[in-house]
Amino acid sequence: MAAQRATNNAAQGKICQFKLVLLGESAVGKSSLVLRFVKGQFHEYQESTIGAAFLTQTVCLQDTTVKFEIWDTAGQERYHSLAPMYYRGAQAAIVVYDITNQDTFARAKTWVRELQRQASPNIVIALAGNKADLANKRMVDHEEAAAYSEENGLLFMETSAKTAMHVNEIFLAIAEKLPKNEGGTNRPRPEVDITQSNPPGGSKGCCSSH
Amino acid sequence: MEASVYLWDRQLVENAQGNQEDRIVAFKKDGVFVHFYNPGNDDDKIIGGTLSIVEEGHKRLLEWKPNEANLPADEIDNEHDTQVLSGSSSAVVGTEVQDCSTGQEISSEMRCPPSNEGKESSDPEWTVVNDSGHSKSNSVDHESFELAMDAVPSSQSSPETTVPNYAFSVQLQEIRYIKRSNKGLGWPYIVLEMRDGGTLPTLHFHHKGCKKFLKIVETYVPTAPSTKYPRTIEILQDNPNALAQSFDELNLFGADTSGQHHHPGAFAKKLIQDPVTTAFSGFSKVTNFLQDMLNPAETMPQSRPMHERASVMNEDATEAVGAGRIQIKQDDSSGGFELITCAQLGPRCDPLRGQPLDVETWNNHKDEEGRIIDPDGIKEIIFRGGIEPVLRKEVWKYLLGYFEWNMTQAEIKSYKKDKEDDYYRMKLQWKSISADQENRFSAIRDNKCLIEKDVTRTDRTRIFYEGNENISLKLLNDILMTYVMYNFDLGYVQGMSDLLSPILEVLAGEVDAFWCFVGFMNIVQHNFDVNQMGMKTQLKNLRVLIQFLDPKFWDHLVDKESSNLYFCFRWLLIRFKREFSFEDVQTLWEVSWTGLPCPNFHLLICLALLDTEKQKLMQPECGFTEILKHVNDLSGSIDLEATLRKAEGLYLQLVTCKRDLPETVKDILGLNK
Ligand SMILES: Nc1nc2c(ncn2[C@@H]2O[C@H](COP(=O)(O)OP(=O)(O)OP(=O)(O)O)[C@@H](O)[C@H]2O)c(=O)[nH]1
Ligand SMILES: [Mg+2]
Repeated sequence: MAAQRATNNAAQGKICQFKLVLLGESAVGKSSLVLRFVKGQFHEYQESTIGAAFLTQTVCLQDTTVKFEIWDTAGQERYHSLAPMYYRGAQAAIVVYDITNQDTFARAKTWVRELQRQASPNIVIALAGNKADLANKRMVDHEEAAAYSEENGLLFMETSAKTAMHVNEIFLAIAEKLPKNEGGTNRPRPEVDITQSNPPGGSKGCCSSH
Repeated sequence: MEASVYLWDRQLVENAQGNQEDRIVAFKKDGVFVHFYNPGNDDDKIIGGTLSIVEEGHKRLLEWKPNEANLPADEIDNEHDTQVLSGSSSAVVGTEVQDCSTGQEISSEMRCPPSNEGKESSDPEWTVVNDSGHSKSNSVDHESFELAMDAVPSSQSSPETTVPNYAFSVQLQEIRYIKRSNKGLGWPYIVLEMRDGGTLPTLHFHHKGCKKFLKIVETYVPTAPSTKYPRTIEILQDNPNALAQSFDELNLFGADTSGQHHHPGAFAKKLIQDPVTTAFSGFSKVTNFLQDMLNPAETMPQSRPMHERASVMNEDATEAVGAGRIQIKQDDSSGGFELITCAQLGPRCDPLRGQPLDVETWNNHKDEEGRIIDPDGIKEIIFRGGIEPVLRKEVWKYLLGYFEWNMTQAEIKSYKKDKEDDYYRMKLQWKSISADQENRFSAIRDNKCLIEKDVTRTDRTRIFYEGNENISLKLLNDILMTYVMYNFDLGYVQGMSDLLSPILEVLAGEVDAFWCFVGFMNIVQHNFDVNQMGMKTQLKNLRVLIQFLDPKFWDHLVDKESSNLYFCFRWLLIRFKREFSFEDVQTLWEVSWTGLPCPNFHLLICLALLDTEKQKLMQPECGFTEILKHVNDLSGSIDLEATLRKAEGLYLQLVTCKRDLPETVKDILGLNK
């Protein structure tokens, strides 16, 4: 099931569109998180991402409809040089690591640093410790990651694309933290009066994937 | 663009600033000085201040403000001043880092006598400030001052001189050039030239940070080295689509194959400013122009909308010539190229496809000792119709260069033995690395880790790779690991497992699959270059072909900031592996392994695919993201046979006017031989 929390009063609200990018070491579960968030599915054998994938998903906050334009990137270091194209101009980023692999946490930190240096200065960054369902194989402490996030002003959640734990939550937390005036800072979109355009997804409420 | 505040009065600047809450001071640098020339007194005022980059709504502002309680330079402790000026010039440093160093901060903080001893340098001086917009003021580094002071006049004016309250706040985008002082002239300074031709006061970086400042500017606005001035960066006008911009920053098409170091945009710019003269004086440079077009972000005077540029190009260059059917030719010795228009290409035909190579035909092509006679004939058949599935296992070994066509069965037998030994030798190399050894062998560890990650998610929905205890997974893993030993410089790169998977399934044997994979990798290994060189070259070649064959579509792509052709990345990287069904991938690959009808035929396949999707891709609302999404989503729904026919049709269309093709196109398609 896709992101919920559709509220009726969203119909009076505005639509904001944000660009969100997923970064992190290969196989930490970036594509899986997106697939869970956008389509409510999980594929155990999710293929690796070549180049990048683009998806959209809409979530509803109290009075605002937030449309995420999601860029899912390839994680391997060899393709690092392509990443700036995706995080450039992004208003939000989810940096993903795998809680069962310490190296991926170190890599996540370098992504955070790179974003802090190179991306839009007011980018909202969330750190996702994915594969939380594999708690028995845990190699990265929750506390350590939480403390690191705190220090760096990141949103932080441990997630599981497999069980759906905290997947919608992390996107919603980002949506809530994003500035809603004029739909983001870097790529202003005209505000759309939702009463004039059909909310995506029709009867399902205003939340749906495209 | 909104008019910027371009004020000289501090109060006005402050008044003009928006709501403080909307202002985010992203970067702040103390100790940036304006040397104010005071004509009445014939001396200079030196005003210390703070340079910052501020985000205010969508605006990116460069601001300089004098320090609070700023003092005219002449109030500074004279002893200090003298000290400064008597600094030895012999130590003037050649390096950028050092030549920024100085010990002075002329501000209120300076009134306390600095304690030089034991004071730790408090770099970095650039403080990334948090949302509150408050920055820790940088303490002064009292390093010994060892700069040649010639460039910096001393200030000995009387204290009564009033120092005007200067400040400025401009949008970064309104600045055109940032000129840097020459090295070795004391502290570095920069001259900011505005788009309207005016200049801001020269900013003197008495403390380190000039270079850093420039770096940071580059992260906020697109820049390029100026062709006009030395040591100058030019701020390009904002490209609304930062994505396209950043891709161009990767300089994907920047590889200057011609070895020229001219600014790629120079000719294009001139052409737009003065199309007629430039076009007619520069026809010899037509290909340069095309080459220039390969780099639109750098090339295009960004003040002009793309469609305007396109029309300039069409009317004044291409069509002025093309309409009159004038052919401009130059002999190759001069390095020039001819310009020909698309109209001169003949009609595109729809060639017939044939039957796949069958067992009978294959056997008929063997002599009694097992040599393949007429391999070209075989390739021709394969090109036209592929191979019957049962034969693939055998024929692929030839197509991928594992076997030579003229080997006898006897030769193959002993050759295979050798290859087998060779394979197991290399396999043993990684197999025999102990866990302990591996701990100190990160290169192997990293490759192993990457391969494991990918093997578990390559084509797992196919029966051949299904289930967790599947032997095929182990083979996939072992072949990839052995390939790492075979080609350690390259190592394992994501995408390779996709290339191996169909080969392993067809060949079904470890050793054969390995050597066939090696054969395929020999063709495509540059796709995996560390510097992405192979991908860059391919995208660049594809670009040349699109520009030539379909300028209208090309203009659309430029217009939609998709001229980087990044949406073709996956197609090219793994040769359409993810775009077609497993069966079709096999056919497509064997067709392309024949090397027929020309080198880079896969680029014509790209063109064919794009041509088929053109209507949708050219919809006005189809931007960078939509194009990429549409192309990604084609996966699984492409008609292979129709695509191959179209690609060959394109080839035939080009080859019939071979003599009239631009050299670049001929080079790509190997028509120069
Ligand atoms: N147990 C568990 N496995 C997961 C989870 N998320 C992803 N996986 C598995 O981890 C593997 C990699 O997931 P992907 O989503 O492809 O990883 P990625 O980060 O997109 O990788 P790249 O595309 O290579 O950068 C897949 O086999 C997933 O099934 C999770 O939350 N729990
Ligand atoms: Mg992925």
